[in-house]
Amino acid sequence: MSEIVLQNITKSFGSVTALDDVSMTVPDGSFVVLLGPTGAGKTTTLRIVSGLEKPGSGDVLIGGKSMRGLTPAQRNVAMVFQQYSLYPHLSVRQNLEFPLKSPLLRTPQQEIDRKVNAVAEMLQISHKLDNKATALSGGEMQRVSIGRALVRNPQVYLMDEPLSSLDAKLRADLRIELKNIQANSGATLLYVTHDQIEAMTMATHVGVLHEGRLVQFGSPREIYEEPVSLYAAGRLGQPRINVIPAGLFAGAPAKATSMGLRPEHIRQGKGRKPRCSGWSIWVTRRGSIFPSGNTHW
Amino acid sequence: MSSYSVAEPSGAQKLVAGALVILYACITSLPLLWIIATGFKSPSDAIAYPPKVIFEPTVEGYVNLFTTRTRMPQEQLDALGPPQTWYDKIVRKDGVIITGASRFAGRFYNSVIIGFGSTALCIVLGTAAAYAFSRFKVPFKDDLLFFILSTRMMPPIAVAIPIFLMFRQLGLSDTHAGLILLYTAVNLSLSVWLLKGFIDEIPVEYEEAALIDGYTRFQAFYKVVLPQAATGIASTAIFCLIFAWNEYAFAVLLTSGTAQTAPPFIPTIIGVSGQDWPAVAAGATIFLVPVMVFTILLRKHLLRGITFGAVRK
Repeated sequence: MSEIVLQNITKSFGSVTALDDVSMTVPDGSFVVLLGPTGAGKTTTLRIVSGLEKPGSGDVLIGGKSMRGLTPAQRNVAMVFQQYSLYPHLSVRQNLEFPLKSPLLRTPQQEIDRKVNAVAEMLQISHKLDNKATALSGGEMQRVSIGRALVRNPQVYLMDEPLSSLDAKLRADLRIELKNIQANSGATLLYVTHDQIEAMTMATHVGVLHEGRLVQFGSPREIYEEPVSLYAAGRLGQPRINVIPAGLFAGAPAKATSMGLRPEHIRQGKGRKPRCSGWSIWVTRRGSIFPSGNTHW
Repeated sequence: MSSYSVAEPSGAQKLVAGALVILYACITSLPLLWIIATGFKSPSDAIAYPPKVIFEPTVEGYVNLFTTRTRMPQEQLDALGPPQTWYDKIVRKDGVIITGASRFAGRFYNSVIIGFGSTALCIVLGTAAAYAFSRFKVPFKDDLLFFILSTRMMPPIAVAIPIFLMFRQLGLSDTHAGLILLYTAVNLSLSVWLLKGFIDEIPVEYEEAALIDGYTRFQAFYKVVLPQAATGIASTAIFCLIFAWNEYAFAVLLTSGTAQTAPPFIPTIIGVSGQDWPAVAAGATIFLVPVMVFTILLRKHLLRGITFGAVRK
């Protein structure tokens, strides 16, 4: 398992800039979740790390080595695709064996059987091993697709919204399972999602992407409590953070223009002197709201 | 019930549909059955008027197809003694003896080599080109594809004279290689376009998954794309084979002996000894067999080709 370093990655498709000068370090053994809406550049980041896409400029280092010019196979990364991408002409077992049988790994058959059975057991697809890959439900396909990454022991795991098509119960189970696997094996995992629950429950680090730029990178708590922008603040927290003009509050920091209030910061009660028409609110400060002096918004 | 109903058709509807299908099948298979039947008639039954539907079957046509024969005076025939084999016996009653094998087997063999050879070449080149057009950034891609298609915009025979001269110049006249090359050139445009359509349908994610799983691009193509393109390859192969197998005009023009295929040869059988329709029909029947077998073998893929895309990808 290895550290991933992205150095000033820029990528455009025609006139569209998908990634704009993104730098980040994914520490060895961490679970990094990239968060952002559709089109923020999350998947492009994964594809550049995997080698499926070449960066326009900048470099990717895995385990301290530059990956420039290396094929995906040479990078030894495992990836779970959003659209499953199971080989439709193979059975579930053959799908799981496929990476192990590659010229890269050439695993002995005994070892293959052991690993495939273990992974199938964990993902609860043992009874489907001899099915054709196309004769599965969406959730089962997604699990096989995760399994195809987990049978390997790559430098890093890359996952592109792997849980998005699962039902709620299975999604919750697999969240825990993935977190366990990562925590126990010390694997480095780069994970793309737009589901903030996944980010909050699994990540050791969260990277917030916005229109191709990395807005903030830090632990989930850091991003929740000390977001660098309204945008980053809005990515985490359910219900969303409330943003109120700072002028409504007498005690607002001097140059602040907006105040962000997490729902838990707000209590219903009787205010001394209602400033908002309609109803009165009483705000207490529980934990840090936004650090004072954060004035760029 | 509206005419757009998706309900199970009623018994009467099924009956009508079935009757129509059977009628159509009869109409299309009648000439085929007629040829097959004629192959088993005696020469006099074959030209009988009104045509005989019930007749005494004989394999005389087939014997004539594969042999050359010569007529002999009765006293010389008697001197030969009784016929040695079953096929000797069949021809002997017409006062004829077998003098050797005809050239039909050799011509048929030529057809097999040229038909299957050009089909194989067409599939190999076509798949490679279609894959490149489908997946890679090829400069002037659209123009190239149009150019490839444009080679089919006139009947191939329109360029017969230049091709004839080129073949003579290059020493390709009456060679297997010559006809294989020619049929490949004619079929390749169709093959590239058909296969490109099929390969376009295969999501690129499968190859990306294989690349990540530790395979090179060529291995990914071989292990992931090819098996999924099998349907397209099978249907394209059938089209190519049928064209190369049945091609007559170029075969007449460019071959005369060693590389002559069956289509120009079969009509010549008729002149060997009178109007031997059963032998011609027998030749046509045998000629039909390989394409039929090939099509039946690949039928499963063809059917899948028709229903492809009906289910979730």
